[in-house]
Amino acid sequence: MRKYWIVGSIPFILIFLVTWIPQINGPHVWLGAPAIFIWVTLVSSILVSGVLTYFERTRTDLDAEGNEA
Amino acid sequence: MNVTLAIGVLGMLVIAAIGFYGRRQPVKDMDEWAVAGRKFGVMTTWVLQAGETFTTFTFLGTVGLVVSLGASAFYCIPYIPLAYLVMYWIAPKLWRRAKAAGYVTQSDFLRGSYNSPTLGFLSAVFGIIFLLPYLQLQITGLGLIVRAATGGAADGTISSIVAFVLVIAFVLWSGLHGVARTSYFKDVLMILVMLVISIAIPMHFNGGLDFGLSTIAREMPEMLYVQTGTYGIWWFITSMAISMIGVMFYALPHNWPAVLASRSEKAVRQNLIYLPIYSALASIPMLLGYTAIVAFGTDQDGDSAMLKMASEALPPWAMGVVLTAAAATAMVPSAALLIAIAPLAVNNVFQVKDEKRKFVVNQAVVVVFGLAALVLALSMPNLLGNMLLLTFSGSTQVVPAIAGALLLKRRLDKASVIAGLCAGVFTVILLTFAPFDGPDINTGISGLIVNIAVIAVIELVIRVRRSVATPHDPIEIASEAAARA
Repeated sequence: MRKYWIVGSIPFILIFLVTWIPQINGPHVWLGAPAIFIWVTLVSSILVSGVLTYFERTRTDLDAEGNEA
Repeated sequence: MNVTLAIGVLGMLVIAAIGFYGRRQPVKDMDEWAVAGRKFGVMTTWVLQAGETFTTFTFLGTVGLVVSLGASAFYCIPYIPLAYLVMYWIAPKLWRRAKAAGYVTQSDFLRGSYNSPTLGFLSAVFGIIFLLPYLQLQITGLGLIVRAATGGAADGTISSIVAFVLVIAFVLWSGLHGVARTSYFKDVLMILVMLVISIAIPMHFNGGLDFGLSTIAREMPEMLYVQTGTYGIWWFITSMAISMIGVMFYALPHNWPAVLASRSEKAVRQNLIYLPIYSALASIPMLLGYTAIVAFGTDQDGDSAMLKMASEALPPWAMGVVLTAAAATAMVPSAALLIAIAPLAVNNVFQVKDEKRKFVVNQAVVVVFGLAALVLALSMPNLLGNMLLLTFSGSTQVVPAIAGALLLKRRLDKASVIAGLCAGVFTVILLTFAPFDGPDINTGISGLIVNIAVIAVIELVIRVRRSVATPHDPIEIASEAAARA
């Protein structure tokens, strides 16, 4: 369970720290959009989906029908 | 009637027809009406939950937020996907308990978890008070959308009345099934419209796929990042936090039917895996806020900026399709809100027990509350508009009760939960409407701090009193047993 806590906390840390990282929260444009926009969108979509997929595929406490045992 | 309005009104009729479609008889069973008999699979659950992402706020609010706040507006992008990381673990627990006990509302869950009809009653009253302004927002939003999309040719009042009466009718007829079907239509149309708008508007104003960021970086670089000040870093963090806490613990009662209607734990979990991608799509139109700033400056009505730009970039018939999509973002969430409000009133406020009578009262509540919201939206738009300030901060005050029921091994006492809820809501009301300035953080966070502190103090007192009343000393216990013998 500890590994899920660690992996699951990564997107939270990356989002909540973003406002204090001047390379991201600054007057920068990445790919035609504000750097902070690209960061929060990527972290909150691809990374969160990836983490949830990791949870779903590696859990050992689910029965054959996907219910918690 | 111009072409845009004609196609828009036709689109509203199509939405209502989809809401009615597939049922020769109206739904007559409460469980079937409110949670669709708990039979929805991954896809329908996904569409229902995704539908809550695109509301009138997408058309009226997000671009306006960027125009007025710059990059601080991006606080509203990550909080829903981040919440899914917690919802993935708690939603199946919630679904399992609700299915076992037959709960159809948030207040049913709280009443059952703490064995307290009083908590069920209070949470339902607060839930209705906080959802009604949200319902009113959809109606006034629809009027604004019609006005902006037609360039002021129609004032939107008649369209709002027609659309909302149709919503009440298909909600009465089909219940959550109707909401699910209209959500499919709405989400497909929304994705298409968003893609077209996100390409057509920059092409029209900047001659290419350029949202105007190079101009902004040169002339107004401060709009590209979160700064210090009123809408600075702490506002950004606390607004994101309170919104996220509210979503992850299902604080808003209208988020419950989509979960409770799922047919399995697996469906509940798996739809959350794919929802973040949809949320990312919903955030792209926010960049049009920068296009609006370049085109019209910061001194403009940001809320109507997106539709104003779309009406300049698209032909009238295409604007009619945009109007249909925008109307869907008002009609479908309105239907979902009515489906959440009515069972709250029937089960937890009026506490009707008889099944047949329950359904009759439920239908009456849909009509009465629906028409009341419509009349108030048209006659006194500011009355409920002011209460909307309370919707998110206030509804979040049920989070300690829900989290306590789902996560704590030792159940909290109902007295401490009720006191915490009341103290939290009172704090939010006080800080929102009092003529003095509170701390420079979101009022919902302040309410939660008071709420949790009250729960902790009362819980401590109750546990100490219980441990005093219950003898723990083995000699004392033995002597009491001997005395009883």
